[in-house]
Amino acid sequence: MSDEKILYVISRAAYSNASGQEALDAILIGASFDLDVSVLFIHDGVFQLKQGQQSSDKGLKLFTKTYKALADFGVEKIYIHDLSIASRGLTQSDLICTVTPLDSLAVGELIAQQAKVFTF
Amino acid sequence: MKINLLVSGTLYSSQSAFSALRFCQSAVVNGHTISQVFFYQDGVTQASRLSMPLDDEFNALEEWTQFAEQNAVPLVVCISAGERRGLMSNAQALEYQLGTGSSHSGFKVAGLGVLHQASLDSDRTVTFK
Repeated sequence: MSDEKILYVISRAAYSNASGQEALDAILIGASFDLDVSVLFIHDGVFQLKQGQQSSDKGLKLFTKTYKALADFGVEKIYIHDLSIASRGLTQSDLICTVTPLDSLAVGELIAQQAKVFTF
Repeated sequence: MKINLLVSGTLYSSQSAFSALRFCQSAVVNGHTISQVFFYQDGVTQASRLSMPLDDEFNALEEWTQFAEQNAVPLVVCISAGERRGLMSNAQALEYQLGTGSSHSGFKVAGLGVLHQASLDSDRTVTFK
């Protein structure tokens, strides 16, 4: 694995726009570059991981299930901003997969550690 | 410093093009290099050769192509994001039997790998949503 640390920040909810789907495309390409990849869900981006999503009647793919499979692509560092979850009335148990919660200070530290950051 | 840009805001209704261009111009004036501008998500609309703002409005297409030419900066449109939004080169349009392409000839069409390679080859990546 390369030393280069790269972070993808997901900050928008799924379905009202294609941001999450296209962020996922970018993450999978980044993973193929053999980098030290991290993903952070923050703000409305935490809704991407909400359990019980139903997309079939909206003409949309249920692409968010791919987040659960990111480890299969070598992406194991997945973080979520704890305040973003709490302020939206959610808890970790509402999410489709286990992710590492970070407080606001830790989010700042995570970003500071990266060589490159892509924001979606 | 070598700076790589990711531009994802839509043409006209977002401030993405304006902010990104002013950033690029300031960076160059201050001795930095813009290694590449990659248009992704709704940002691909900024590459449309058919955009025609009013005379007294900001003309993103004109400014991007001028900036790129004067500073030898590659402008790259994501192929998959572009095809989903009706943005393609003449070669792609020919392949799909759709007549003439819609992207400006000053923009290259390439994949997300090109975004990542430029990012790796640069000191910073800056996103304009």
